[in-house]
Amino acid sequence: MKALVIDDEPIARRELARLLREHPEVEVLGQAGDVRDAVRQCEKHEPDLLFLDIHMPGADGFDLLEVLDDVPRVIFTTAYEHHALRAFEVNALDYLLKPIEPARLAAALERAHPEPPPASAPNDTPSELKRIFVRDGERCWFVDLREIVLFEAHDNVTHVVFGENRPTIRRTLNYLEDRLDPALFFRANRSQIVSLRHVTAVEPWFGERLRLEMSDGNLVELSRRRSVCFRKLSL
Amino acid sequence: MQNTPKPQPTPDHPSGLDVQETGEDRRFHLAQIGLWLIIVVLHVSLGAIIDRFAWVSVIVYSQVAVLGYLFTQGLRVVTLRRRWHELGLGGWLLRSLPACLFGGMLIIGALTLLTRLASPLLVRMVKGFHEVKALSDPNQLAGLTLYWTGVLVAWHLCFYGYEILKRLRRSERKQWQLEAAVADAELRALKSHLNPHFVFNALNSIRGLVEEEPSRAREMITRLSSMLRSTLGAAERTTVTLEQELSTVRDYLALEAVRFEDRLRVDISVDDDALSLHVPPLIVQHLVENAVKHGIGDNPGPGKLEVSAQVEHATLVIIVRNEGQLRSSDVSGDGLEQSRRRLSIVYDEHASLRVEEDDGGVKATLSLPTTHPSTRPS
Repeated sequence: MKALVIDDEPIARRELARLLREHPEVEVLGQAGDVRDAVRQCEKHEPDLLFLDIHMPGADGFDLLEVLDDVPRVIFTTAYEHHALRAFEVNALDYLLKPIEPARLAAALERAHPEPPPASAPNDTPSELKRIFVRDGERCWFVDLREIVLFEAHDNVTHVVFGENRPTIRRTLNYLEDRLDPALFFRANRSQIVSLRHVTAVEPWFGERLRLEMSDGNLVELSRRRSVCFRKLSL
Repeated sequence: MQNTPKPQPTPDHPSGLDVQETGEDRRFHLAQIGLWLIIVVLHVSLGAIIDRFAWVSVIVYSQVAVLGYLFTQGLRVVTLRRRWHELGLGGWLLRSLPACLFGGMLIIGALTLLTRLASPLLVRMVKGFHEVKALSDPNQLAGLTLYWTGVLVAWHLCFYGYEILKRLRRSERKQWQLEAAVADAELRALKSHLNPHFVFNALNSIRGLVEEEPSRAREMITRLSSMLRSTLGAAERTTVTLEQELSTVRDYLALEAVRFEDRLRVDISVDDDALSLHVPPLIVQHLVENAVKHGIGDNPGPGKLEVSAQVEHATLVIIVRNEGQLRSSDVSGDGLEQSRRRLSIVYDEHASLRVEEDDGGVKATLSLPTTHPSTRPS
C-alpha cells in the first residue's frame, strides 16, 4: 500500500513513519507539511492511503480532500477529538488520536486494505471506483462515483445528488464534464449531468426531445441537441 | 424612616426578609392612616367650598374613612394570602373589581345603617345636608356606591403596582447574588483551564524525542510536569509573581518549540522590577497560547513571538506580540473574552486588555495597576 503522511509537525510525521516501520505492507512514499505540498505529492505518487492531520496552518485537511479528483483511503490523525470528525458519524471513518497507539494503528491499517476487485460486478471500470470528498457546512461525505445520481447547477452553485443528499460542491459542471468518464456520465442539458448507471427509463418528450427517469425518481429533460447525442449513444 | 437596620443583601442572612416585612408593615399602616385622613379632609373641604362647612360631614366622612380603612386592610390580607399580586393585570382586575364593588356596597350599606340609627338627631341638626339626604334616595345611593367602589379600585391598583415594583426589586437582587456566585465559580474554572490539544500534542512530540534525543525528552517531561502543576494548582491561588508566571510561559514555549521546530522564534524581555509584581495565574500564559495558536499554528512559515513586561506610571504593562494578521476572531475570541472576564472580576475596570494590529503583527497589551492589592509585591 502506498501511503503519504501529511502533518504540519515534523516530529509527528517522523514518529508516525517510525510506527509504520512495523508494517512492511505500507510503503511511505512521502511526507508533507502543508496542503499545497500534499496536493503535489498526491498527484505525483497517487497514494492508496493518506495519514492526514486535520488541523494544519493555512488550509486544513478537509481543504486538501476537496481539491483531489480521486480521494484515496484516509486515516485522520488528530491530538484531540476534533469537532469536525462528528460530521462523519454516518460514514465509516477512521481516525487515530495522537500519540497513536500501535494496536489502533494496526487495526486501522487492517480496515484500510484495498478491497479486492469486486467479482460480482464485472462491469465496474476503474474510473467508476473513484470517489470524491464533499463537505457542505458541518456535514462531510466520501462519495463513490457509483452512488452519484446526478450533478445539478443552480445559480452558479453545483449540487451533487446521491441517496437522500444534495450537498454543494466547489466545482463547475464544465469542470466535471471534462473529468468524468463519458461512458459513465452524460451531460443532459445546461444545468445537469446524469449518471448513466442510474437511468431507469427513457421516454420521448415534446419536440423530439427525451426525458430520463432516474433511479431515485428524479426526472431529467434532455435538451434537443443532447437528445440527439443520447440516441446515438444508445444505438 | 425606620429603626431596624437595612437588611444586608447576602444569601446568608436568614432574617433579612422578616425584618423587611415588619418594617414594611409599619410603613403600610402609616400610609393607610395618612391616605384615609386625606380623603376625609378632601371631601369635607370640597363640601365646604360647594355648599358650606358642616360638622356632620366630618362625622359622615370619618365613618366612611374608618370603614374604608378596615375594608382595605382586609383586602390587603386577602390579596397577599390568595397571591392575587402575582397574577397578570387581567386576572387581577377580574378579582379586584367584584371585591371593590362589594367593598363599596359594604361602606354605603353600613353608612346608611349608621345614619338611619342616628337620623332623627342628624336631620334636625343639618337640614337639607345632601349626603344625608342622599342616603335615603335609591338613585343617589347607587351613585355613591359606585363612587366609593371607584376609590377602592384606585386604591387596589396602587397596591398592585407597589407589589409588582417590590417583586422586581427583589428579583433584581437575587439576580446579582446569583451573578456573584457564578462569577466565583467561573473564575476558578477559567484559571484551571487546560488545553487538551496542547497536552496530547506535547506528549506525542515527547514520544518522538525518546527515540531521537533522549536527554531532551527527559527535559520536556520535566517542563510538562511543572506546567501541569501550575495549571492544575491555579484555581487554588489568586495571584502568582510575574517571575513564576514567566517560568510557566517558558516551559510552555519550550514544549511548543519541539512541535514547531524552527518555525517558532521567541524573544522574552522583562524589566527586573516587574518580576516581583503579582499577576492573576496563567493570565500571560493564555495570551501566549493564543499568540502561538494564531501566529504560528495558522501560518505555514516561521513566526516570531515577543513577550515583554515593564512598569510605567504605576502600571504593569505586559505585551505579547505575534506575527500575522488580526482577524475578528482574535479580538473577540473565546480565550480573550475569558481573560477579560477574569480581569473584570479581579480588578473591576482598573485593568485592561487590548488587542490590536501592529506593524505586520498582532499585539496584545495587558495593563495592571501596580497599586492594586492583587498586583503589589507581598
